[in-house]
Amino acid sequence: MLSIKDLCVSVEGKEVLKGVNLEMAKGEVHAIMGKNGSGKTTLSYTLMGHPKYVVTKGEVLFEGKSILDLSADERAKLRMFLGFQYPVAIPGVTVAQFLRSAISSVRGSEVPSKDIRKLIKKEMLELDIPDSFMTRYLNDGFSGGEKKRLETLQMRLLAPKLMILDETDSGLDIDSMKKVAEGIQNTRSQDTSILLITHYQRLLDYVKPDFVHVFLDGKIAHSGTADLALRLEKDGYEWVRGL
Amino acid sequence: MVLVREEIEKSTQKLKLVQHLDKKDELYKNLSLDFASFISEDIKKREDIINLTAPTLEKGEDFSLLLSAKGFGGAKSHKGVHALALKVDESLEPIVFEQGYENDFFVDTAKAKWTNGLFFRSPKSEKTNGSLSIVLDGENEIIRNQIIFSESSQTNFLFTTKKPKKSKKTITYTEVILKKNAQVNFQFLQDLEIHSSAMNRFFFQIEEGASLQLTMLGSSGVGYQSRVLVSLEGENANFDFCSGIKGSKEEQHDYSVEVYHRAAKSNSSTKVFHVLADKAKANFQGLIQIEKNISNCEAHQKSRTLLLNKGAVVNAIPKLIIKNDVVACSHGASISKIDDNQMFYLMSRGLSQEMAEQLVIRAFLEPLLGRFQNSSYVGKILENWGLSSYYEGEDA
Ligand SMILES: Nc1ncnc2c1ncn2[C@@H]1O[C@H](COP(=O)(O)OP(=O)(O)OP(=O)(O)O)[C@@H](O)[C@H]1O
Ligand SMILES: [Mg+2]
Repeated sequence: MLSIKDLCVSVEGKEVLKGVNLEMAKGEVHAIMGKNGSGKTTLSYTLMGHPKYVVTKGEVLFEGKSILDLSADERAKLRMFLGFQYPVAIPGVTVAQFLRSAISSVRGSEVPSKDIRKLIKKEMLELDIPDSFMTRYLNDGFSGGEKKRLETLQMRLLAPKLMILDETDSGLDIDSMKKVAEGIQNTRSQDTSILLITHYQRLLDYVKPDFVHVFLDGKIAHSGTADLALRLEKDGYEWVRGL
Repeated sequence: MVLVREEIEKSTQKLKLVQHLDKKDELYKNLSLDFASFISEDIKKREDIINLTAPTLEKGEDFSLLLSAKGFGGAKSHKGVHALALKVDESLEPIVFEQGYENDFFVDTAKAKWTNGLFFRSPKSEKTNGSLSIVLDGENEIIRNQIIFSESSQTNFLFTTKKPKKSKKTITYTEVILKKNAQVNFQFLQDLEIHSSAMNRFFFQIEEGASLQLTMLGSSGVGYQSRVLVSLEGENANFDFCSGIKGSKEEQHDYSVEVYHRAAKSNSSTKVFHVLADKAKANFQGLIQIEKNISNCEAHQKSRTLLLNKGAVVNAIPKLIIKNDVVACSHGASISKIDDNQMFYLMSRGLSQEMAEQLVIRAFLEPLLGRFQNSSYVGKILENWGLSSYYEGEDA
């Protein structure tokens, strides 16, 4: 599904990613954990095609094809999805208006425009999102947790194959965490892959990863299975340096 | 006196003459006939118009034509109908504009040479249902309008000029009075053909307790020059203005909004939005003037500009002449460009660069566009602005 080879990335002239290697097969869930500022969000932005994040070396293949020359919208149409750590507010654009545009852009004729409203309604119900969200401006004045629920809703609506979820679990209360985790878990299938960036074991209790990677100084310093997350929670990250 | 066809024809011929008369009374008399001459047969047939009369003029009146209609809805100028006054049943009072333009070439031209116009007066204490829509034919070059909102009336007034077929220079001069406690939502929309230019002059006189919400939107032609003069003449008079301009290529927009607070406790708010692409230029001048003996006024002015590329220029020049100390005044100007992170967020959800940009521009203009109730006309103007896709289907 996703193949990252020796990826080096600079932003604002500063080298942040220093040779990331990662292979993700169809149906797999990978978790990335790591220190603040180690480059996790930079990786997620680069995978989705933020123009400010410049690839200086390496390769990224999605379903066998290089995506580095594609713009963000083209990647979205290939069914890549990024759940933002910090969703961007756009006052003046309503959530309803935005969701409709996004669904018709990504899914095209797959969802006839007359069915879009029904689809949104259904997913909102599943995620326990109140109707009042729809008429509000996008991420404007939303609480941290509300924004993350809205990200999860978008993920559900856009039917992605690859989900990159950058701290979608942070800032959520216990009930919301459960809803969001269910949302992710329900999207999990043999045909989809999930890259979960998280600081907490709790999400991983719900969405059990096949692999866990430790991010340090712009690259993956260590990889393991689900147990690794437990050890990290207990011992922190420093011991990884010594390996 | 009910006009008959011969009289209408006779008065049309007179028009040529009256423009050169300098005797004011003569001029006024003939002007009223001139207006009548524009009433076409099909408007006479309209069911909602029950009475068509040309009254004798009172001293001090500029011009008038009475046309009584059942209800206000959907009054539009037809081809060949250049003036309409709807449902004016009361006796005429003289129209007196206390203040106005001095030494403005376009105003003087419009006063002397107008060939087309609207006279409208709303009845006292009457509330219009829905919007009263007046469409002026864009083919006319010099337009002069007089609009009176009578005491305690409530009106939604949608005033549009149609897009001309070929390049035109248009001059419009519009005088508006809001009588005591009149509540008016006035929207002016001008759709210009791409090679056209327009010089617009507005004068608003707002009396005690009256409130005007004014919104202006114009599609760009090669030149757009407008001046809005506002005189707040009674206590608690209120003026709330919002306008938008989109410029591209080498277009230039020059405009000013001048607000004179001439009575205590009067309020004004002016907000202007510019979206400028390519080498477009906008020059905005905003004036707030409050005299020494006028207290407890509130006056705010804001200009917001979104520059789409480096070559575009905005000059926002605020001018505050405040001689009284007991006031609340502010002015501010902001210039921004399209936000990379907003663009990335939208594009990561599948929106193309163009769509995302349109959406960001629309969001920027939302305080302005939010004032319109999805009028198809606004949709057309936005289409000219390259912002069509997101105006429709706004339901929640
Ligand atoms: N647009 C930017 N401009 C300047 N520096 C940046 C930018 N984006 C990232 N960086 C820098 O790159 C480094 C990695 O940042 P990144 O956001 O990828 O970290 P992270 O692993 O996601 O951290 P956290 O756990 O706090 O979310 C940081 O030092 C950060 O300051
Ligand atoms: Mg991060």
